[in-house]
Parts: sequence; C-alpha cells; structure tokens
Amino acid sequence: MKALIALTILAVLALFVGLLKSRKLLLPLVLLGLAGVLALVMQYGCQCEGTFFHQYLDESTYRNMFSFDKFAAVFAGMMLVATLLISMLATDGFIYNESHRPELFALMLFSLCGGIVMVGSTHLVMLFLGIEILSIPAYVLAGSNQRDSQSNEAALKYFLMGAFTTGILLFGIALMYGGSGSMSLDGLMTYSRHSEVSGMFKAGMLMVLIAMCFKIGIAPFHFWGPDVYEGTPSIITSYMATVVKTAAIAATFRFFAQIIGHDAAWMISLVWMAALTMFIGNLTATVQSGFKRMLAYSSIAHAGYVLIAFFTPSLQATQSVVFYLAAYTVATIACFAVLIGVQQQRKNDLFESFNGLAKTNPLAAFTLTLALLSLAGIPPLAGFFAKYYLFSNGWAGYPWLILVAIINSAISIYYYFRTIIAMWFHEPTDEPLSFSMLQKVVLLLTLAGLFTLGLMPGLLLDFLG
Amino acid sequence: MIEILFYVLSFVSIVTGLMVVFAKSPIHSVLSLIVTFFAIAGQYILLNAQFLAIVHIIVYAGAIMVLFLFVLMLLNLNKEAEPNKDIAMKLAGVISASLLMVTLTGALHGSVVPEATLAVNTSNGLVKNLGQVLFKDFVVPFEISSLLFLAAMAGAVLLGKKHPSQITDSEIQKI
Repeated sequence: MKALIALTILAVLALFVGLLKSRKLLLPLVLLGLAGVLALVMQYGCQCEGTFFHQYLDESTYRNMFSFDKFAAVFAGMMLVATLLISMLATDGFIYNESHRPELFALMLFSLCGGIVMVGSTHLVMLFLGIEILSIPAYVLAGSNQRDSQSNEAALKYFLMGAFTTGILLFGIALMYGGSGSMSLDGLMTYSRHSEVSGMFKAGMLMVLIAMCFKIGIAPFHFWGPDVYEGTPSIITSYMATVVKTAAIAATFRFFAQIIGHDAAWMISLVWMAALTMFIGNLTATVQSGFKRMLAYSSIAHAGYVLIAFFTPSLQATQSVVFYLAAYTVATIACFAVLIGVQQQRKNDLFESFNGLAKTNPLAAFTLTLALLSLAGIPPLAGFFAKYYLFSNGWAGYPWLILVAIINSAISIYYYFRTIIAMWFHEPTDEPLSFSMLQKVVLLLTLAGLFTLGLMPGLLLDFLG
Repeated sequence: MIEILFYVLSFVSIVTGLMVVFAKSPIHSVLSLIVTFFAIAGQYILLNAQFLAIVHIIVYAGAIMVLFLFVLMLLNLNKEAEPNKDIAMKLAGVISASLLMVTLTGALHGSVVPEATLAVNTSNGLVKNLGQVLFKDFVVPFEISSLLFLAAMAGAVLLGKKHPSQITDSEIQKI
C-alpha cells in the first residue's frame, strides 16, 4: 500500500512538472521515483517468507480487499522494472508528442498503479478497479499521437473493446456475487470448495474468465491485439505488451488458481484455448511483413505458453509463471528498444529496414538477436530456462499440450530468424542508426538481464523460495 | 402488490431495452433508454435502495442522457452515415449472442440461489447505512477509485488539448 501511495504521488508530481518552464527535471524525477518505489517493494518482498499467497488477518488486508503478499510484491517489482526501462526509452519514444511529455509519463504511472492494485487485489471490486485504472490511461496513451490516424484508430478499437469487456466482467462479477453471496477471494474460495456450487456462480466465473482472456489476449479473444499494438506508438506498445499483459496474467492467475484451480471441469476448455492461442499466434506471426505486428502475434503466442502453468496449480507453477514473464518482459523491451530506433530513422518497421544492422550498429543487432533467440527459447538465454520450467511443470497435467507448445516453439524460430538473418546476412541499405545514450543503457541492461536470468536462474528462483 | 410492480417494471424495462436496439432513429433510442433507466430505478426502490434509485435517475437519466442527446444532435446522424453491416457480421453476432443466451439460461435454470440469511432491513438503502458500508468495509476501493478519476481526467485533458505542433502545421499550410 505504501508503494501504491508513493507511486500515485510520483504520478501527480510528474503532472506538476508540466507547469514548469524547464522539463529537465522530469526524467530524473520519474527514474528516481520509480527506483525508490522499487526499493520499497523489494524490501517488502524480502520480508515475506514462504508461500506466495497469504491468508492475512482482516487488518493487514484492508478488510479482505488488498493483500500485498509475496505474489503481489514479485509482480509489482517486475512491472516497476519494466516501466523503469521503458521510461529510459521514453526520451526518444515520446518524440511524437513532445509538448505533452509530463502528461504521458503521468498517465503511464497511473496505469502502473492500476497494475499494482490488480496483482494485489483479493476482492472482485478491487480487481475491477485495478483493471480500469490500468486500462483507461492505456486507452489514452494508445491514441496519444493525435496526428497519426493509425494511433487514433488503435485507441478507439482498444477503448471500444475494453469498454465491452468491462461490461462482460461486471456482469460476471454480479452473477458470482449473486451465486455465492461474497465478492472477496476468501469467501469465493470457501464457496467454490465446500457447498453445492450454483449455476449462477459458474456462469459468472465464465464471464469473468472471458473478460480476463480479452485483457490478456487469449484466442479466440485476441482479435483486437495486433491492430491495437500496431497502431499504438511503439513506446506505448512496449508498455502494453509487458506491464499490461503481466498485470492481467498475474491477476487472472491469483483468482484462477485459488477459485477454480482444483476443478478439472474448467480445464478442458482452457486447455483448448491455450493450444489455439499458441497456434494462432505463431502461425499468423510467420506471414507478417512488419516487425511490430510480428511481435504482437508473438506476444499472443507467449500468453498461450503461460497458460500452461494454470493447469497444474502449485508452488512450482507460480514460480514458472513469474520466471517466464520476467524473461518475456526483458526480451520484449529489448526488441522494442531497437524497434523504436529503427522506426524513427527509417520511418517503417519492415524486415528490410533491419538489413545489415549487424555491420552498422553491432550493439543493437547483438541485443536484438539475443532477445529474439530468448523469445524463441534457445539455450543458454533466459527464455530457454523459462520455457523449460514451464513445460516440465506442466508435463504432469497435459502432456499433449506440452507437445503442442514445443511444436509451436519450433515454428516461432522461423519468424524470429527472419529478422536475425536480415540483420546479419543482408547488406546495409541505409546509413547507420544513431542510438542515444539512454537507449544504449537500456540495450546493455536488457542484455545483462537475458544472460543473468539464463545463466544464473537460481538468483530469481531463490528469491521466489 | 410488490410482485405485480416487479413484473410491470421488468416488462417495461425489457420492452424499452429492445426499443433502444431496434429503433430506427437514434433519438428514439435515447428516449427509450431514459424510460429503461426509470424502470430500473423503480426496481432499486423495490429492493430498498432508495438512495441508489435517486442517484441513478439524477446521473443517468439526467446528466448522461442529456449528454447523449447533445452528441447525437451535434453529430447529425442520418441514413447515409450508417455503416453498411454485411450479412456475415450480422450472422456472427446473432450466433454468438444466442450461444451466450443458451449458456446463461442453462446455468441459471434450476440453479440454487442461497436464501438471504440476514433479516430484511428496510433502512438498508438509506444514505446513512450506505455511508457506513462505504467508509468502513469498502474504504480502500472508495479511495482508490479517486485514482481512477484522476487518471481519467488527466487523460481527457491530454486528448482534448490542442497539439501545439498541430497548430503550426495548419498555419504553415495557410502560408
């Protein structure tokens, strides 16, 4: 809760910097503030012992509303790191709307607050509020490049889809409350385990799940994803693909694992949705001609992989979700760091624009290559171990789903290598790109992250218990 | 008596709800929506939620509907502006909506709804009791929702404000 308050104050401060003549304060303020909040969360996360989900007393969870347990601390830390890295890119990323830079930062921080509310929520009302606080600034950010009609279109699509989803979510919450007489996670858990579960509760749970699948982008509710990701300014897309996705997956995992995680009847449809998501994401990504749209489909596919952990709820499954999302986040931010540089100077994101990047910009090419290899799951990078943990834990539940996931990982190598081949084996067609100091720092940090998570996965896993 | 009222209000809200969807002119849609809101406010009163009913009428039937009407009149919608929906889209919509209806009817049919265990308290919906719940049990969500409004306001200002470079662009074009 302290972290949440600090983050809100930081966002308001960022808004007020907009009043000042000089904006030089803005970036240091945001970076230092985020680092401070991260320190708060880390310090808190180290104190929590043992299990991820705490059954606190009434006082420490604000009357069963919000529980900042280890699960929440880990995901909040991950989202803060992601936002920190994205903020460093923002000097170049927000260039399209120079005059509103403080507002853009503030909206991103508000949205992050919503993410933290989501991962810590133990009550359906808080979950709903968290989703809205996360989404509403994201709708605005998606349309923040007002001069670009694609950005406007993306914002409108995202907003309409999101508003519709909110309706479904609320209807589901109302039915769940009508069936069980409780909206807190505690009460819902007791209800779903002990008494005869009413059909009203099940219908409600179904609608809540559909709404959450919309937010994560699980097939067949993924249609908004690629269009929105493509039209949105790249810096905001990187935020949506990492922070928004992480928050939605974490919140779904908390509710799913605890309310219906023990019930095999729910799994059947979800297992099929996971398989469908992987195939649609990976197969469609192979036919894309733009790097950004390819990343959008690949992010859909990755959400499909993460679903595997949902079917065998255990401590290891929770660990594997955390590890997978950490590896995915680091690699995705690295991809977007290079993409932002390419887009700004080449004015498009076609694979041809990456031609010969290895000769002209070795650091960017090297980082992007490793990030893509990590996303594809090649050892010894972070993505390999993430996939390994996820798949080996999931084997006990649905072996055929793991086989599907492995086939899909093989498919994904094809489209990830298109960019790699363009960078290393094609001759440069244009002059070298120039990357700013901060962009280079982000590239180096993500590079370090990919290797650290890959070569020393114990660091994160020990922290997770 | 209450049962008859319930059925009358439900009938009115369903019929006007359908009219919102099927009305040809958008103005008629909005006007039927107002009637729907009033019928729903009646249901709230039957549930002893008097404060909620009043707020519902003031906010929805009052403020939001006037806003709707304004927007409709400013947009000046007519037949030509209506997008052409092709038959496949309509079919997909009908099929998915019917599937949802089948699922919901199946789930709700014969579902066991727990009896209200608390004694019915007729002063439940009064402002005093609502305030007690809002500022005791739900104080955290109540405070956090202020964050939502702040974020939404900042976003609205950002979208509404004119882009300075937009102005220069058009000025350059004039020159």
